[in-house]
Formats: sequence, C-alpha cells, structure tokens
Amino acid sequence: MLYTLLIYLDEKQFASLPAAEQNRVHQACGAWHEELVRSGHSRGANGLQPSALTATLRERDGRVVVTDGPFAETREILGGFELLECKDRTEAIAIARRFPALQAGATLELRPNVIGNECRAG
Amino acid sequence: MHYLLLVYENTERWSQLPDTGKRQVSDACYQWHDGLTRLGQARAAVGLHPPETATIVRNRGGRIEVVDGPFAETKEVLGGFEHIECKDLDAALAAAKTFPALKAGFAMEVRPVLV
Amino acid sequence: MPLDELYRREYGRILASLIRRLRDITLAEDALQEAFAAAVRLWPEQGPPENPVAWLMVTARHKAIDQLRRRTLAENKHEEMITLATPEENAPVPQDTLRLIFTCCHPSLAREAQVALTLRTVCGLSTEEIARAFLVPVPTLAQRLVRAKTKIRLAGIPYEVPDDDELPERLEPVLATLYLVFNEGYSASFGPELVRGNLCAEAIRLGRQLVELLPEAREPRGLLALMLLNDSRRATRTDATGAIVLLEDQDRSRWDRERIAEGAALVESALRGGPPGLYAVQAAIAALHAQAPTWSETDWPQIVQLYGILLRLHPSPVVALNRAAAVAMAEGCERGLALMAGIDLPGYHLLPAARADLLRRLGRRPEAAAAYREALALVNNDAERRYLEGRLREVEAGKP
Repeated sequence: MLYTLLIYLDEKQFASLPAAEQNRVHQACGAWHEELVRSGHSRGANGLQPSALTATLRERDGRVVVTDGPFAETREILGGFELLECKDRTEAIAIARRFPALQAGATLELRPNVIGNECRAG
Repeated sequence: MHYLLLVYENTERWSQLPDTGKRQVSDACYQWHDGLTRLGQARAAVGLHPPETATIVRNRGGRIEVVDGPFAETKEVLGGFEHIECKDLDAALAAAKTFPALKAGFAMEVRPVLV
Repeated sequence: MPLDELYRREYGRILASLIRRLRDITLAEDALQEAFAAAVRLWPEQGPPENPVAWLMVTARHKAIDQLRRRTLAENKHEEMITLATPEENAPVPQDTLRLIFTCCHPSLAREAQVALTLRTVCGLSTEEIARAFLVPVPTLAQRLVRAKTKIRLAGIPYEVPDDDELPERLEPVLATLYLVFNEGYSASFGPELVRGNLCAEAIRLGRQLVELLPEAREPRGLLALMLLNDSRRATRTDATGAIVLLEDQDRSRWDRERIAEGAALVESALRGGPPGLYAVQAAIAALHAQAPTWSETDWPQIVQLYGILLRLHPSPVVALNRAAAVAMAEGCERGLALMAGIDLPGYHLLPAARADLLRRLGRRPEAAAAYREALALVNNDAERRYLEGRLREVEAGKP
C-alpha cells in the first residue's frame, strides 16, 4: 500500500525554537528519512520552502488568477511530505510515531494514495 | 528549480458533479500529468484518497497519540500534488494554469521545494 | 548634471542592468550604492568623468566583483565571477528596466510588496522615503523589502519580460501598482497631508517609461493619460489651509494646460485600435472634465455614457455611484438619488456624502444633514472631514 505522510507545522512556533534545537530536529528528521530509504519504505520525500514563498491559482469567471500566499490561511501549514510503501496502515502509523519533529510540535496526517488511474473513493 | 503543485479541492462542488463529470475531470488530469512527463517536467505525482481516510499522528503533552483525521476540518482539502522541475516560477505557473480541475473549482498552490 | 539628479534619473536603469548580470537584487543594490558613494567622494576632487553613467556601471560592477570575491572564499561562486569578468555594454539597456518592473510586480508577490519594491528599485526611493509616504514604520518596510527579495530568489521569480500572449495579464498588476502609487500621492487615504506630489511624479515618470518601452500596448497609455489629467488639477484640489476644493469650485485657469493637452492626446490613441480598456475609459472621463470651460458646461451626457461602458468592463458599486452622480448632473438630482438608493456600499463615506450633496441641492435640508452625519461617521481623511463638517454646518444653518 502507498501512503503519504503529510507534515504540518506551525512555522512561527518552530521559528521561535533556539537555532540549535531547530538544527537538531532537522538532522533527526533527515536520519529518520534515511532509515526509511534503507529499509525500502520511503518512495520519496520533499521539504517545502516556507509558505510565504507560495503562489496560489484559482479560476474566477473563466480565467485563472494568480495570488500571493498559501491557499489556506491557517496557523499550521504543510511543511513537507514522505511517501511510504507499507504492508498496511499499522506499519505506516508505527513509522509516523517515530517522526522526530512530533516532539517539536509538528502534526502528521497519514493518507492512502490513489493508485494509477483508479477513480478515488468518495 | 523544483516546485510542488498542491491540489486543493472543494469537496462540496466535487460531490455535486455527476459521475461522468468526475471521470472527465479525472481523465483530463491524468492527461495533464502525461503532458508534463513528455515535457520532462514531471518528477512525481500523488493522488490522495479523501480526507475521511486520514489518520492523525501528533504529540499531546509528551505522548504520541493517533486519532481519526483529517487534520483540518475545511471545505477545501488537499487532494494530491505534482512535483515538477522547471526553469523558474513562471514555467511552474504556466504548468499549474493548465491543470484541468481548476475548472471544477479546485485551487492550486505552487511552493518551491527545498533541495 | 548634479549627482543627486543623476541618481534620480539613472539609479533604476543602472540597477536593472546590474541585476540582469548579477542575478541578485541585493548584491546589485549594494554595489550601486557603493558606486554612488565613491562618486560623492571622488568626483569633487577629480572632476566628474566624461560619461558618468558608464563610470557608475563599471564601478558598481567592480564593487560587486569585490564582494563576490570575498564570498567565493566561503562558497563556490565561480560561475558568477566568470559572467562578471566578461566585457559588456556600459550603458543601461532599456529592456532591463522593463524586466525589473515585471519582476517587482510579479503576481505571486503581495501588492504592498510590489509597490515597495518598485519604488525602491525602479524609482530609487530610499526605504525611509517609502515608509514615510505610506505611513509605515521604517523597520516594517525594510522587512517587507527583504522578504520580497528573498521570495524572488527562493521561489524562482524570473527576471524577464513576459511573452506577448501573457503580456496583457501580467500588465494588470504593473498598472495597478503604478496607479496605487499615484493615488497614494494624489489623495492620501489618511493622515494630515493630502497631496504628496513626489509619489505622483514618480508614478508619472514610470508611466512614461512604460509607454516608451511598450509602444504597442494601449492600456499603459490610458493609465498615463489618466494620471496626467488628474495631476493637472493637483494644485487646485486644496486651498491655502489644506481644505478640499471640489472639482465644481476649482479655479480652472490654474489647471496645467500642458498636462491636459498631453493627457487628451494619449486618451485618443489609447482608445483607438481595439475595445476600450479600463484606464483609457477613466482617462476619457477625466479628459472631458479637464477640457470643460466650466462645471455646468461639462459634457455630462457623454460622461454618463462613459461610466456606462466602465460599469460593463468593471461592474462595481463605486463605478455605479460615480455614474449616478453624473446622471444627477445630466438628468436632474432626483434621477441621481433614485440610482444611489439602489447602490450597496457599506462603510464607504462617499455614498452618503454624494447623497447629501444632491439632497442639499434639492433643498431637502434635514435629510441632507442626516446624510452628512452618516458620511462623517465613516470618513478617515482630515481634509475630507473638514469639508463635510463645513457642509453640515451650512445645511443646519439653513443656507441654500
């Protein structure tokens, strides 16, 4: 099964941590990811630049409008993701529990992926 | 440059579409992805099952808890993303602008990726 | 040419060319500042160089190379060094100014960032000047500029003029930014000083550049015309005490005829060759006002017609309000009042103010007083407040 772990974090809160702590969390997350690559669970990962660097596109009256800033004005924003291949959700949750940034206030959302051209549920 | 095109969908509008309409939009999105692959821009694409299928893992007072998702109870939810590599932001915006589901009320967020 | 005048005229153009070579706005800004500082030091001693612009460009490039050399020790910046070492033209390339304008006004930057960045880089205004003009604390504005430049770098906002098929869409934020700068100077939305001529002058200067650089585009001409025509009346918009003088009461003999002639000619050419654009139609309205010998001899029926076109292009209650005011002049106050009754503009002081004005003309004084009070509860600008208070006193005193 393919899952996506969506990593949400409060950018302000994270930025308020001491630099040494931020570096420690970054390094721990890197090690967590490397371990998943070695064990064959990771199918790729991306960290995102801060939400301030975002542009959002919407269609309004038949034309696409580009605006500054993230789509959702929320305190916690998507900071990155990890693609997991696991035998089941239990295994994926076990991996998620070990994610080091949880201790620094991050939240993970685990969502199953749509495979190939299958029409998704719902 | 690497960019992530995050797809946000309006679940209300989507659920009102007839099945044939859903199929049409969804097929057009696959074609859009194939087009980006031919241009050599597509790196990875992920479609997500709806937010009801989500599980949340978080830290509450020092212990990790696992609860039913989704993370944010909003009308517009993350439906998937496309990782592309291209020259600059304008090239990424040009790819995003042709995303067929924008016509079905979806929005797309373009974020540069840390490399 | 004195150095400060040279700075005003050439800063943005030289900077634009440096940015293209350096691919780094901050580095280019620092290098150009250093070059101007060197000029302040050296020119009085040695006499100004034969070609001051070329001198500044070469000096700035050397300053940038020095900086990069210091950086190269820490990082790998060989590529940039090679690009810089190659010989190049020593005069600014006009196309670079256009690149810089489109980068500063990229739609993925917030409008306030677009405005600040354009004024700082293209116009060469200092952070302090911009902060003062927009009543923002200097550190806030400085941070806004740093963030915008970081976003340009990290988000990969290109330094290019958009292709022809993208151009109309990408021009919109550019024109909107210019018009915002102009309006900020023309009628401050708050604060004590009504007219801040410097911003108007910068917006017009930039508008001229844009028209020159994009001779095919019609809307830049429309916008330039609109700014010139409004600016032609700037001196008569307030009296010696800073109080507002309405268009109706302004001394038309003091309007700037040169600006009016230039603006009117631009309107003509902006309206030719395709469907009318938003700015061109507004400029056409401004031209009719500017060319009317008196308020009552204004061509009101045509102004009503133009507002009708504007309303179709850009349906908005503010445009509907302006149209209703013109209808009142063309067809009578009652007709205008009836139209205003159908306009919904919560929190906008000019709607009750316009209604009050028509009621006063009709001699319906108690209703006029109530509408003036409604407008006074919403107004922010000191000069407008004083005007409305004056009118309220008049209708309360029973003056016609």
